[in-house]
Amino acid sequence: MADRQKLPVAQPQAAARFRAFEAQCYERGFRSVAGLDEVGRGPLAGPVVAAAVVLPNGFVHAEIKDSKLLSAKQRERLAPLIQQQAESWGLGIVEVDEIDRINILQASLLAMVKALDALPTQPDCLLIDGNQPIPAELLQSSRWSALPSAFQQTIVKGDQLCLSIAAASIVAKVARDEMMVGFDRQFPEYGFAGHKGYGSAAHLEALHRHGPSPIHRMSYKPVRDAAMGK
Amino acid sequence: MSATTNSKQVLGKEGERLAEQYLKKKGYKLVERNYRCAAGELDLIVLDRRVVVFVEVKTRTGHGFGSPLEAVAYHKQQKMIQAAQFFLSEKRLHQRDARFDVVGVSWAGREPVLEHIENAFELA
Repeated sequence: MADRQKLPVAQPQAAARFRAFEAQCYERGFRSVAGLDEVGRGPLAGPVVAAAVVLPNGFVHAEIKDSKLLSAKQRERLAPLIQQQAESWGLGIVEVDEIDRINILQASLLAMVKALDALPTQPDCLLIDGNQPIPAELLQSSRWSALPSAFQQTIVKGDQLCLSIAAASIVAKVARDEMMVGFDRQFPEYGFAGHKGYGSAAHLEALHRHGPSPIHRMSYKPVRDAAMGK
Repeated sequence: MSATTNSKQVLGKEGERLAEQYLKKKGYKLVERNYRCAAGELDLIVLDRRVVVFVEVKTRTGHGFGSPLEAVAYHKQQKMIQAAQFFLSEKRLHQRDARFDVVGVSWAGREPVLEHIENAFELA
């Protein structure tokens, strides 16, 4: 473990800055810092997927940055690398029926808790993308008994500012994209492999022509409109 | 890659084949073999009537101790659970009952010996 401390010294400043949040948390004495991000809040179809990634203390990687700035190819190459080199990682999936039942914000927070539940050990510090901390009652549904007392720091644009969150966003995005490609095979008329469920013009047109599929979110207005033939 | 690794891989593949044959004989229906996804890998996915069964095949070559179940480490279980959740979600089978089985294939003697443990661990 000790030789990991050598790593940041040789790194350019930008990379060191990118793990400033993690460095601060480890300095404060936290032992396991998890970056959390979710993808799939916006799409009209498909699940919301969250990832939790715990990187080794001192880990830096020049290519891991905002997943939106990376090409699909780059993300697909980086995701397995992150999964291999991370101390641990977990995925949380919340299905469409649950999104419709509890609303998308609750569903994405729940996906994060599920991602934390999928870790082999419980983290004591959470770096969360956005401005919404995970509510206590959701944390209490976790299999981890001490999770409600974990330290939470929300970081707006965390996927652009924080290494662990960027890593989580890459893992979550690659997983969700892969799932949407799978749905494309089951429902080929909607073009899920291309737009991944987001409301592109082609998607909306297919939605109007064929009506909603079983993986469309009925709680979303464009989907309801299409269902009513509007 | 060394010859040992190769022969181990061959035995591993043969073990998976035997396990599949064994489960089919039991009346299970094969759904997928060597399923790979962003969340991980699963050796076999079969249906026991309506129940989706994720099967880890554990091949043992020597007379080592411990049951095949013990060989599926906790960490590995977590990874299997993730891949299973991914599969259930992708195939829209998340409402179905699902379980994890382990099939041990031991090559210690002259003939391979199979051991099937149902419900080896729980889905989350």
